[in-house]
Amino acid sequence: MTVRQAGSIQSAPEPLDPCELRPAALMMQPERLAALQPSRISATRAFMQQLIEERWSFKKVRFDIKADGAGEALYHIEAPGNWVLSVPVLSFKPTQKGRTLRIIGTAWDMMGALVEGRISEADFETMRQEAPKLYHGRATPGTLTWFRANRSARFFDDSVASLAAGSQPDAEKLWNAGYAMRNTGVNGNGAFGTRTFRALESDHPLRGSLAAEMLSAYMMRVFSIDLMNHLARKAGGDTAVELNPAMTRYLGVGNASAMGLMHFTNNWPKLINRWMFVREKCIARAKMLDLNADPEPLDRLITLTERAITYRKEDTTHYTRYPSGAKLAAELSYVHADLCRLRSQLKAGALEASAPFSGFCASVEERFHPHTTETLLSLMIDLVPTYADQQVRALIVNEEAIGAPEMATGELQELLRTEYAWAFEMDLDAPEARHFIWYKSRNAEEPRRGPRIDIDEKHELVLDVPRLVVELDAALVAAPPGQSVSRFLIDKPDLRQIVTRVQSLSGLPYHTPHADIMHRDFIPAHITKLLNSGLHGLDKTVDAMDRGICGVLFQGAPLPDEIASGTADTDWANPARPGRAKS
Amino acid sequence: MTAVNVPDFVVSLREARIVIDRLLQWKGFPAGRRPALTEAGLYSASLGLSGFELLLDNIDSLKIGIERRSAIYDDATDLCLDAQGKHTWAVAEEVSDLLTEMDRRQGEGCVTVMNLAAPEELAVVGPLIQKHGLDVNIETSRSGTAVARLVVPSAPRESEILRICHHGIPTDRELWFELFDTSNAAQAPDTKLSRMHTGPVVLAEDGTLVGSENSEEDHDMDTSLLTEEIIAEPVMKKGKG
Repeated sequence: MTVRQAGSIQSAPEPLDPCELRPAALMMQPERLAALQPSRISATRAFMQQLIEERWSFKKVRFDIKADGAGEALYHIEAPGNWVLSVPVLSFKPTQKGRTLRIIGTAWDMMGALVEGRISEADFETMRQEAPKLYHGRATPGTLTWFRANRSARFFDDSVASLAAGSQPDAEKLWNAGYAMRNTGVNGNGAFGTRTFRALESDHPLRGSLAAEMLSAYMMRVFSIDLMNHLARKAGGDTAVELNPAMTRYLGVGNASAMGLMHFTNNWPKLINRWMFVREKCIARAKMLDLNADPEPLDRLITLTERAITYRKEDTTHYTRYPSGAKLAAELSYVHADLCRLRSQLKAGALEASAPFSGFCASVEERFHPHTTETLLSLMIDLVPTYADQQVRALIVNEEAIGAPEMATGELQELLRTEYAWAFEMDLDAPEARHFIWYKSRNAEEPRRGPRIDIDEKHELVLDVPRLVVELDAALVAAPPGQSVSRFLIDKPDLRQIVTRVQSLSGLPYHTPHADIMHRDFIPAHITKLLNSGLHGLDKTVDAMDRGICGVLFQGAPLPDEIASGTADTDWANPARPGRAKS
Repeated sequence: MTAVNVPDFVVSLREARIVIDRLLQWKGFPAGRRPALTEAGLYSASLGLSGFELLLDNIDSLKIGIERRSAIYDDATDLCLDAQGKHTWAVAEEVSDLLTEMDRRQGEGCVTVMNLAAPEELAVVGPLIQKHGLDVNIETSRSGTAVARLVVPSAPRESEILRICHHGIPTDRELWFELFDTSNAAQAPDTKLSRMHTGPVVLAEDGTLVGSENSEEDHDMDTSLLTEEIIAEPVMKKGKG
């Protein structure tokens, strides 16, 4: 099946790609969604590309933090168009009480804000008072996000001690940890009185989807490194050394996610669809490259594959449900060998196909694990960099759901049976099919999923798409012939939400995972992994208990000085393991 | 420092929707109806109608007759909707839908709504119908009848939804947090059992942590958060470090 997307492109019209996109029936399976790997169009990488190209500058204005970790810092960031942003930071003495990577935590090692303009002392004071109240606090006007983070228990203190003593941290520990601080929450887009992202000006540097969240995460990284070096100087005085650039670059920002991203998938179907669509278009375009006309993309892909093999080989993380680094490295090595053979054929003038990547990818899909295939395809997006960057920067999506009340019920039913065939194929009445309930807790609004027997159904939150579709279909069968949707909904007001959603998403292929998320055997980690790995661009995404994913953002990303000076390496992803460098 | 003409406290689009939806959930309204009711409540607040001040009263009034179906009486050009005594918010999207359908079919439309509770709230149809690119004039009487008539859209102007995105909805801080706290009742009580329904580890009956063994980071937590019957809200005890 070929899918084409009509009427959903918000950027300038473009000629249709002369190749097929992969079908939703394949792509929206949870297992396949979990296989999507970080790529140039993942939020971390797209945002970093923007920073590098535009040479944003970062200035540490103030850093007044005591040896116990308590104090404050302030950063100014300059972006093109005379945009200035401030990042005020509250730093706290670490405490074990109330500490957790979950959002029910009550203790954080730092809290920060991303604020437009140069923050005034009065607004800094307001932030100082309000941010720690979190849900009962209020951001000052012009605030884009509030965020918080905790130090890495296994790396931070040891590293500070090493630096204070004049040595670089133990490379093995740095390599195992991968970050010095872990994100424990970024809130924006209207939360706590922050600015609504849809209202950001057309030239706003953070107008792109997830850009404000990515800058917040990057500033956690910047602060974590500055804090380590600062505390080392406090402890070691003249003996202390700074973390060397190679090690610094290797440190990203930790992150743990769980059930909340299922809610995100529910609430942002157009963004999911659009991002998936952009990804598929980039891949399709890369597959169509004419290597006889220009062989350079093949050389580039071979280099990227070599880098990915090394990164996977060095990744000894134990993944429960997903393939190990060793397995992926081994399979990618075969792919690499095949790519080298392709290059030999090309050089010998023996390549007949004008777009050999297309057949090559089909062959990889047949022979290897989906995670290997999707790794290759993610790398291929780098073969069409200009197109990919242009597409991802136009990824600004309005999620307002708008129905079509004039539509005839017959047309709505046809739409259901065409676009939701997957829902009708499920056994939704099986005893194990409605096993779980999705909800949030009163405490911290923590998204959770538990057996239906444990939780009152009145708290249920996540949309049960397949059952609602089947219920709607049954009601449509009974509707008078030729009735309009507006009149149908007067008779069936309880179906308004699913009707509006179905109509609003009509024609979009990739908006909803094809899954019964209430089923006993559904694995939430697959969806969390899609968001974390594919959309956000986290690396080393480890699954826990089938419901949580931990990973690292910005590992290998350039440092602020490199971005500002124009010396940043755009090929920063999949960094090689740093050795024990001499200070 | 607060600029001139900037209200002291405004609620964002996202916050308003979340709190209204949760209050509706708490009061037992079906999930399928809540988005439409939420939008009506949102615009009631943004237009300065009964707003957040009377939000809880309106939600209670919404329950009256909610199970009744509206009735339609067709005329050649106009249409009458009998709200059966329901609150305006319960029929506002129906009115918007009917007008939109009439516009698509015949390029004009008028709906007379009768037996309506709180008819002055029918002004919310104005912003509701903007998503369809339409504009409406509303005339209400105290007798529970109102007339909604499509009009040629006035000069291009910012939609109400965008106005909320840009400026928020001014309200009283204390009132807002009362509503926020009340709406929290829609969510499940926090219990030891419930806390096991997410996270990388769970607490076994023997008190040990079970789950991911990937890293000590997974266990970088105050285990009392799992063992205590009641845990604190996520607020830093000390503002400044």
